Amino acid sequence: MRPGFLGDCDVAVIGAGLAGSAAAVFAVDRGLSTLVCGDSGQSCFASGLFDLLGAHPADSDRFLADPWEGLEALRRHCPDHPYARLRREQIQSAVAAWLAHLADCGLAYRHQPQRNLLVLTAAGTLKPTYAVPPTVWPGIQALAEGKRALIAGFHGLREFSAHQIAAVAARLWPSLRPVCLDFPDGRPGAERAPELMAMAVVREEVRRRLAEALRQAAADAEVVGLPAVLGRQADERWWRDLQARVGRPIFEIPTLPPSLPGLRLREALTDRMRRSGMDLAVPGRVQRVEIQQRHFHLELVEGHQSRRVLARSLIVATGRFLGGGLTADRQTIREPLLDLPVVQPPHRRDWHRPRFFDPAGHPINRCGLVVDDAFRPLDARGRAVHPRLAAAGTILAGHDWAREKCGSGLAVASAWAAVNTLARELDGKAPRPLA
Amino acid sequence: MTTLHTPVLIIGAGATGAGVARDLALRGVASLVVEQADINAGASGANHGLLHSGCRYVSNDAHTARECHEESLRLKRLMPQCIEDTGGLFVAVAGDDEDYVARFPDLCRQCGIPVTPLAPAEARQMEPALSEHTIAAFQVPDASIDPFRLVIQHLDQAVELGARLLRYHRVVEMAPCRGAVRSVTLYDSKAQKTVTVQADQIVNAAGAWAGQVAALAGAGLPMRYSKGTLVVTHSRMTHRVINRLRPPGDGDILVPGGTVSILGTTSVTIDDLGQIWPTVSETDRIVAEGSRMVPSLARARFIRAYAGVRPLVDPRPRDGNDRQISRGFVLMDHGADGIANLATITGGKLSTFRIMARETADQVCRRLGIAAPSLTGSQPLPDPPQTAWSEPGRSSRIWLRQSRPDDRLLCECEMVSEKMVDEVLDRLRTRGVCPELHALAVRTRVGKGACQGAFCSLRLLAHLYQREAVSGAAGLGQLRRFFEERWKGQRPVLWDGQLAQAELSEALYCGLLGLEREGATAFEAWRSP
Repeated sequence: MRPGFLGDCDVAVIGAGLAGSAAAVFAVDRGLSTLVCGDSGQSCFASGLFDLLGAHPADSDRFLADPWEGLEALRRHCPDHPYARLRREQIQSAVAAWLAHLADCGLAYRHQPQRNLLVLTAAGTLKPTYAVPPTVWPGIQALAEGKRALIAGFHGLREFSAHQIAAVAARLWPSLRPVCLDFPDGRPGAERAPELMAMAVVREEVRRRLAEALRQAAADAEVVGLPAVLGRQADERWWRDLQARVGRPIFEIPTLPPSLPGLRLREALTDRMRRSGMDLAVPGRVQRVEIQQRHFHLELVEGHQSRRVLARSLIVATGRFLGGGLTADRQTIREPLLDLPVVQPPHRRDWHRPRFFDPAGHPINRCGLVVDDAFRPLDARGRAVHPRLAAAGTILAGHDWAREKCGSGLAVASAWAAVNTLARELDGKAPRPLA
Repeated sequence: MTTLHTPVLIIGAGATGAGVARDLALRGVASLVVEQADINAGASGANHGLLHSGCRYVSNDAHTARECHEESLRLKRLMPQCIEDTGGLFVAVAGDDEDYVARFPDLCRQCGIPVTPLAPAEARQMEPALSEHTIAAFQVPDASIDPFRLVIQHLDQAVELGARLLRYHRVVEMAPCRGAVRSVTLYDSKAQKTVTVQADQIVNAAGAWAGQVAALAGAGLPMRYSKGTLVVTHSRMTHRVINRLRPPGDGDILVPGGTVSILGTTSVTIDDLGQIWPTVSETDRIVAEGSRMVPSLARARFIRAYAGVRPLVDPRPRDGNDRQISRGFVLMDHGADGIANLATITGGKLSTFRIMARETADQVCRRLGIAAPSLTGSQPLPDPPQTAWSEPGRSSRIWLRQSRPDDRLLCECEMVSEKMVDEVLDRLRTRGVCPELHALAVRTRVGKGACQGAFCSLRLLAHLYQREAVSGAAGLGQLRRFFEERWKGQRPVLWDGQLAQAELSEALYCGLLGLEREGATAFEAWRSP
């Protein structure tokens, strides 16, 4: 069967995770016709927090309060880190542009320009992050000021124990008081999923009864923390309404994935792509990519349908093992789509360290695509594979995003750089008319 | 200092120690079982789960072969709840020693083990996963056995009849005095204090650690540690136990158990009992060997590997092959060491644990002047429902059959629910056992499925906090230790699907929760404005 022809574009982005979405949004900003294909992969595991750089060096026993200072140190210590290929101003511009876009989608992330925020997690630990959704913000302030807080969990929400959070966090936030409530949707004892609770919160009756229960439990608490269940969309309405009813600031604590702040982010991005009226978010998996002189030929498969896309430039943002951007058998780690070289430890026994929590992190976390300063993947001889082929996000080599707490910043900054490269390369080169 | 008194002190809560405790309890003799870790911590928790028909030993140890066969028939009758009577096959593939193949059926018959020859095509019809290069096959009465349920139920009955169990109590001192060990000092690693035990008789059932325990009493016990590595598949590969029809070697037994299959083993001499974990190269070797019999193993998803140590008693200098040392057991009365009240039982195998326990209990009773005979050869093992959650697939069956609206799954891979965990939790509490994460995981299937504990251990921990079984920040320490323990087994099988799982753990534990840094120092930068 000859694949159906779908269309052509300036930039095709493969991967609709954070890096892919950011690349698409930035490309559209530059006036490039853009097409995103592939699925959102591992981004359903996103927490919705925006991490820039929370730990460096990896084996330090401290988290970083000033991410910019950390970036300077990282640039000196780790020349192979993707961040080390970017100037501070570039990262700042990328982050600012991204946060502006999110605000535009109704997700007004809050941050302090020079300082990482400390956020309370669903396990009761604290972790540094750079920017948070508005519904998380009051918790950041309350922790910084040591306010008296009520943490409310719900019967049936399995991985969220208010008692655990209060007990674990007690050393750093002693004035937390836990309570476990029945979620007031008339189904006591049922198993709870944050997404379904978020749908129930839309009902006025549920919010009224929830507020009543929270007000009663709050007593002298100045602020109330809840698992993130206040609405499915990037819409502050339900959160604001509940705050008004309870008469105290309320903050959300992201639950384990898939967590609502992460889902809201994804939904907002999809919506943004749709609204920008482009050929964005083409469904289906990219089966094959052929590099020809002037174009990248992409073959997309969705169900039984196969379609073809011609792109003048390409951004690979397919993620790592969970997203399918990298695959591994017992011997080798590969990039399956274009068979780009993957820098990796020589043998599987060196992929992981004997202890999981080894502060140095696992060598496999730093495997990935090696790129030049323009974020173009390099071939085995160290030359850019193609002038208009760039890569962004976690598939890049040289970082350890989970340990360094830099996943979002890395995605956005590398997407920014990749788009800049392609815009430059495409500039002035009139697209070849298509037959 | 606390001093405990007991007629019999049993050191080790593996299959042998639990077997001795039950055997004695059934004769009316009370005992105290002490264990440096938790139940099944050594080889009893890190074996194939194979109830041998005996066929594996017909060529080099006819006595063991015969003993295995007779005992397996008895155990199938007395404790069927711990056994899945799968049956087994011995198969040879092209290139295997045809002379050995030809002698095999006669050797089995000489040991009294019934075997049925099968045409290769017939064998492949029964087990479609077998290699197309299969040249010979025999049907044998192998079965699989759940060593966790076995030990849990043995100890449970012993405790019911008056025995006591102390976990995380390590023997640190055992000085003989005037021809006997009068008092034994234990270190309680949870409470970080010492406990003294005064016992009339002492049973050293410490498995691979038996030599170290004997040495505390000044008794010599030449031991060889043979590490065996095994890998667990994500789904069950065959109906029956599949053995390679050749003299014992690496990667030649595939044992199904519930929803998974276990492939093993290796035999590597090690010097240090602190180094018992599976490696990447061992894993690759057994997968390569195993796939000669069952080719789909080469592409199968493995969810974990583990290693155990066979305690081999070997008086010879170290030169030979460990596989040649007898897998029979050794019961020493230490009379020659001038100690009148110590017995060491070690070596042997899971299939004959009951015989080992009976003979040890016989010796203890003789020394105590008790005439009551062993009853373990005739009394069925009780099967209280609360002690059965270690069985693979059991919780899923029950969950699907009687899903209760007020119950919730904590572990989705193995379908372990809150109510099931609560049953175990309550039983542990009434038995005086501190119900931490590891203790619950060992007694259920939590953490043994595809996600290897990434999600379920967080849920289980949250549940324990809600049930007030954990307090303060202690739970995080339990979580880290539990995950590190699972990690030892995951590391050798991280490619393909399991590698993505490991990446998810990394994203959760480090990316989202920041569990890799502990203590307040991590946040010092935020202390002062």
